[in-house]
Amino acid sequence: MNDDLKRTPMSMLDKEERIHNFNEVELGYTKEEAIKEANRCLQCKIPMCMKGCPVGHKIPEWIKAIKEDRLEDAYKIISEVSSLPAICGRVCPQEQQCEKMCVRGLKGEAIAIGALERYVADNVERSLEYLKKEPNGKKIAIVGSGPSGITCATDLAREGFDVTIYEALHRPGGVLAWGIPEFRLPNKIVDKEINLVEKLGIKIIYDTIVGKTISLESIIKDYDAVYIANGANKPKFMDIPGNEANGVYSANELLIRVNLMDGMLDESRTPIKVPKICYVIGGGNVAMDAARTIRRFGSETHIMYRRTHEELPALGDETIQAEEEGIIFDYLTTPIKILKDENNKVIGMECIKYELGEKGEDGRMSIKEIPNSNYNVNCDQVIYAISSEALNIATRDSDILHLKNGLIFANENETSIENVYAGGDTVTGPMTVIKAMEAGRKTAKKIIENLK
Amino acid sequence: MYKIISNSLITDNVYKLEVEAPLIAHSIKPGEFIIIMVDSMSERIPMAVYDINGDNIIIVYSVSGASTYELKNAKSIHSLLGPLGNESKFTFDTELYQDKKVLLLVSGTGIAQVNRISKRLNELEIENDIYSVDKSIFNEISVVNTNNLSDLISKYDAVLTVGSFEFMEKVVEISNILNKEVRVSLSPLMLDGVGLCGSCRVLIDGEIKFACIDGPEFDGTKVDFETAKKRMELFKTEEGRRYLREVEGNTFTGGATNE
Repeated sequence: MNDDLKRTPMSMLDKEERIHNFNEVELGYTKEEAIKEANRCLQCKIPMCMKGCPVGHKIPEWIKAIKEDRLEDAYKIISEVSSLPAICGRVCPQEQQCEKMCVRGLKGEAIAIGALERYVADNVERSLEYLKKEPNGKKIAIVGSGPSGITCATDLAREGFDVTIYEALHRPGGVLAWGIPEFRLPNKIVDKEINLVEKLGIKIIYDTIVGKTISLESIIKDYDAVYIANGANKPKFMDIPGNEANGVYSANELLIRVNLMDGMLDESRTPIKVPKICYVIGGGNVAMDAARTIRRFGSETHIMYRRTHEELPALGDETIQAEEEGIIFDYLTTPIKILKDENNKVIGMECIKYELGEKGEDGRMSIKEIPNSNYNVNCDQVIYAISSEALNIATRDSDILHLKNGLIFANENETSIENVYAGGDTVTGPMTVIKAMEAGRKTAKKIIENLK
Repeated sequence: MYKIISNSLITDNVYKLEVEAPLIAHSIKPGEFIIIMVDSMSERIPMAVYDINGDNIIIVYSVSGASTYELKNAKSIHSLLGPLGNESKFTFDTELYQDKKVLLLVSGTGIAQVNRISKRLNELEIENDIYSVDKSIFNEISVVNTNNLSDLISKYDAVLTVGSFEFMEKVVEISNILNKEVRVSLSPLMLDGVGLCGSCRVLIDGEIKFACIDGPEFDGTKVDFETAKKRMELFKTEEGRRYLREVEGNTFTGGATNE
């Protein structure tokens, strides 16, 4: 038993060094560190952590296996509920879920459950094929190979379904591949995870837009069930003058250039415009990802957020790492105009200051403008990371599905058409990777029940 | 991986590429486009589809930068995404043009975007002609001198123009004076082509639209050409450097090389 109140720290890349490369920042536990951390677990009779996990991980059981250095067993226990532990261990918001509920967190720090999950995933010889049941002859089509689609596909393939995923891009993983940067989730980890689940017989068909390349109606006809999980990724731009200026980007554009198209590599053909001074507008994980990406090209990088540090929607760890990397946070501020020169190039922004007001009905602090607080900042790049909306190419030209504010209307992931399901961001609007995975899992359960 | 059937020079610096892509060949409508990647590290290049030949699509392109240079030398195609965008209004809202004469007015490889539209209009028995301001690409295309655009446009009820922003702006201006409906098919800088990034955004009547999912065809009178033209400058330096490195000493300048 290790009764240290603090968790075992994970080794990280040096902060001076890491802003010059895209290597993963968190290096993962060594065996000694993992066992030391696992020994902090109290093995509660009524494990609160499990209540915090949306997919029902048997956390104390596999932590016990880590303590006893039975990694294969730990992996088997994890695999009962999760086929993607290398990804979940890295990008799940554990601090808001399992770790938030951990009893050790009442006095001291919670067990580093995410770090331990990742330790298992990264250090065992993995295979899921032994879990695959006999083929049941039923065919399922999934639209989108993002976290929701992959999770659903995996659960169904394990159950014996014949699963085909249609992916619009040339790489699998959806937002895991194009959105989350290398330094948080390396693409080789995503590829490895997807390779593993492909061995369950899942087919991924690339370059295929359901609703364009093939019709939604045709896959509804050809498959026993369809799961639409194509996300909500059309970026929003602030409704202020100057968005058309050269040097204004969506965070998605930057992240696609760098993550999907390897824009940081010399052999990539997709260029990056490296700014001198960049302002990222927003305070969520995407804002952190965008800012940390640009910072790695050597630019002075700011995050401009209209509330304060306390209200940042981004995960705590990411905020800390962004601060360590020298990103400057401008709180209680918002741009009201993007300033450009005669060549349409960004030269700065006009901003105003806010102050916090009362807590609103949604639990967020309200903000109010401070009169005459206008001031200008100099910059040559502005990146919006202020959320996104549904696009639904799959259903846009198809009048068979009920939509609600551009999102697919689904009741418990069931749409208005029999055997057609929808889940993840395309139903809820932009949420987290784990929420999307949860929807994929729930849908798989439903499909298994309904097609019995 | 997609198989290249042929990739040959048709005239000065312009190439015709035929690729096997059955799903696209059977689904793409006139006015829609595709994105092509030569290999996994290539740029995603938006392209019009000039024609369909059974299971194959035919693309006409001019070598004007690092990526089209790469395409010229391609042995196979890594990724082909499409159809993207929307069908042309002329072939979609057909009843509107039943008794009208439509002019398809292009510059450069703009011909690739209107060829299938013209074919479809012919099938629908809607009168249409293609005119190009440069003669080089296909011999059978009628050529109009840029000084005579006004005379030509005045003979038609509606115009679709495809070419450089400068050219389209001019066509819109003249059509406006003549009070003719004028539509433009835009090809701004583009990245994913499925609405994820907003790189291709254009101001249409003061509102942000994405050419990839809202276009590529728009009412020409609503397009903010000033900013559209300036946005084309965005990656010229980076692209130009790459191109120069690629062709190593080749003195050809294709518009994207001015640092």
